[in-house]
Amino acid sequence: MPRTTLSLGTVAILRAIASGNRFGFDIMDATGLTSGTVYPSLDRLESLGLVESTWEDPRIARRDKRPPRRYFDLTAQGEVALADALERYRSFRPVSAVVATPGKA
Amino acid sequence: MPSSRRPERPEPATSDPARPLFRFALTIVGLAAWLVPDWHRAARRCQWQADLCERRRYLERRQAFGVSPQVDLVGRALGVFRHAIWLRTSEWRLEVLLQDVRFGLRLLVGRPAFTATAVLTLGPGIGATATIASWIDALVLRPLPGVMETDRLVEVGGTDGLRTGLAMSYPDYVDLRDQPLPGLAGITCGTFWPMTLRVGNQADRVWGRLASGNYFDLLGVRASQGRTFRPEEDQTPNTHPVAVLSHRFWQRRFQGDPGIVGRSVLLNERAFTVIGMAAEGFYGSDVALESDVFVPMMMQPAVTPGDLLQSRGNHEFKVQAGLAPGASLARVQAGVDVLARRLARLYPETNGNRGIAVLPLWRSPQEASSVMGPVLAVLLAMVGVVLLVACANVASLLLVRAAPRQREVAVPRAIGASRGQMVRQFLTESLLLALMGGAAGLVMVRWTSGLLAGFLPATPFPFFVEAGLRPRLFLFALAVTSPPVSSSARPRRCRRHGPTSCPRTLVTVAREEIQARLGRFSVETMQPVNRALDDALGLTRG
Repeated sequence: MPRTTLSLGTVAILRAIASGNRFGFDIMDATGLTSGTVYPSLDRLESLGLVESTWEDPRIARRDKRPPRRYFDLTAQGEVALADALERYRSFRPVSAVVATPGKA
Repeated sequence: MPSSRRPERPEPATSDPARPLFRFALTIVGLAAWLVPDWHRAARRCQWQADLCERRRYLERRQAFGVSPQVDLVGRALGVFRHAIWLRTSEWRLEVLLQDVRFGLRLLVGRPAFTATAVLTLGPGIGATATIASWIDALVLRPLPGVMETDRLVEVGGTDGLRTGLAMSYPDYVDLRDQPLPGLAGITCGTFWPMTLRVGNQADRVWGRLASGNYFDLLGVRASQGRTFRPEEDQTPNTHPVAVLSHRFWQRRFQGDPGIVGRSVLLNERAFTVIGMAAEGFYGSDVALESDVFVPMMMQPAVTPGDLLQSRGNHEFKVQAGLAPGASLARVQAGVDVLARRLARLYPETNGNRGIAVLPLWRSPQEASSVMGPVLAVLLAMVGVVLLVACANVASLLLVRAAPRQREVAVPRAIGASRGQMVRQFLTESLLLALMGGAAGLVMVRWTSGLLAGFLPATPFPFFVEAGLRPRLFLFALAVTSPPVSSSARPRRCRRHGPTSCPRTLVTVAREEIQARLGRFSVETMQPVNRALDDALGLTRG
């Protein structure tokens, strides 16, 4: 898998999907990001192979008189990338702590 | 149950007269969808509308679908414009373009005969055009290498009613120099003269330039070793026998020995001290002529016959001046006209019928560029026609090749490739072809540029043109080749008829395409052009 540096927003989107938010507006609610950020990020993550999308069965949508939804799920690569990114972000320490102990930075 | 298939046809969103803001949000995403490339427009519209509808259902279940949530939905709907623009521009991302380049290269490598024919057709045409362009660049656009701000340099020459740009006498130059003329930053004079340079027992014929003391300062030329002239070395005749060598002459004659600075050499049997070498890349201030040695003007009696410094009737010197920033030729001309009239009054015998004209370098009859410029322009026009024929031939090749590629276009179109993607792919291929032809042509320039100098008549003058490969020449080659080749490469036929008409026979499509695109131009116009070129080149048989 090509190693890609994920932005904080992208990690938030991956984490929202991993938490069970599977389509656009739910992901926006979970992350607090706008639609103009979430939709392109989802496409980018799909092209990177970190998420995959599936369309709802059209028969169900037709029965409910609405367009079919597009669901997003993490791929195995996406789960690994999310775990890596979370670990990296968790290892961050406040700048004041780094200054106080420069040898351990 | 989720399905991985895309929806075949998205359901229209439910209209609701009681929810005008929600309907407005649906309209917004419908409008945004028009920005999306057509091959996934329906899917995106469906995705956005489904998200809006789902949120509405959720809010209605909680009985919270009031004005405020609807305004929030309108905001989110407006946000999808950014997504739509991202989808549109993502077709032109660098990685996508590189993908096109890779695919285009694979196609060209996969058809070596076609590629070689096209490149070998374009290469000589581009090479010939670029050769002439390199000479125009060297003689007209960059006439004095190593000189700062050539475009501000003008020549001040005499006129006699019939001719203009005549050489001037030294006393006239002194009057010009000492008269504060508006618009001039400085003025210099000099002349080009053959000399004999002797070091020990070895004597060489060199071309020297007598130059006024401010010569190097006005031209913005520094010394690469030692120094250039000082003002006091150009004040009194025959008192400062110093010389500056050109960098190329120093390398050629003295093998770049820095110890030559301070040593004495004989110029026309008079001892001169070498005080330095001019900057590398500076060959003098005469277009297409190379000076070997520079000597202060006050040393004229030592190196040329007669005393030209005192004689007003001896018009021997070329006067050059630098325009002040923002000054116009007309303003300077007005100033020198006043001076010329005054000189005519004061010295009617020598200056009675003479005026003074300020000319840009490219118009000065004393410079080679004024003679060679028009000749080169005619040559450029001729080789331009040759290049046009080459481009027309390659365009025909591309059109013929486009016929069997109809299926190649139809398949991606059928599986969703947009028109823009296909046009971009064809343009990339054509540009690659143009680049390869341009590269072949520019390789030719390395030799043909020197070959052209062989056609110049034998002359004792040190003719020197620094023509060759320069970055602007690459741009020129690309500019002259790309448009005609690229414009023939669009898959217009397939666009017009759609995928179903694509599997046509090669001959039919090619003939129609050529007739449609080139038509009368190709058949009727190009034949006389080809015949005329054959006649000109002596290729007509019997």
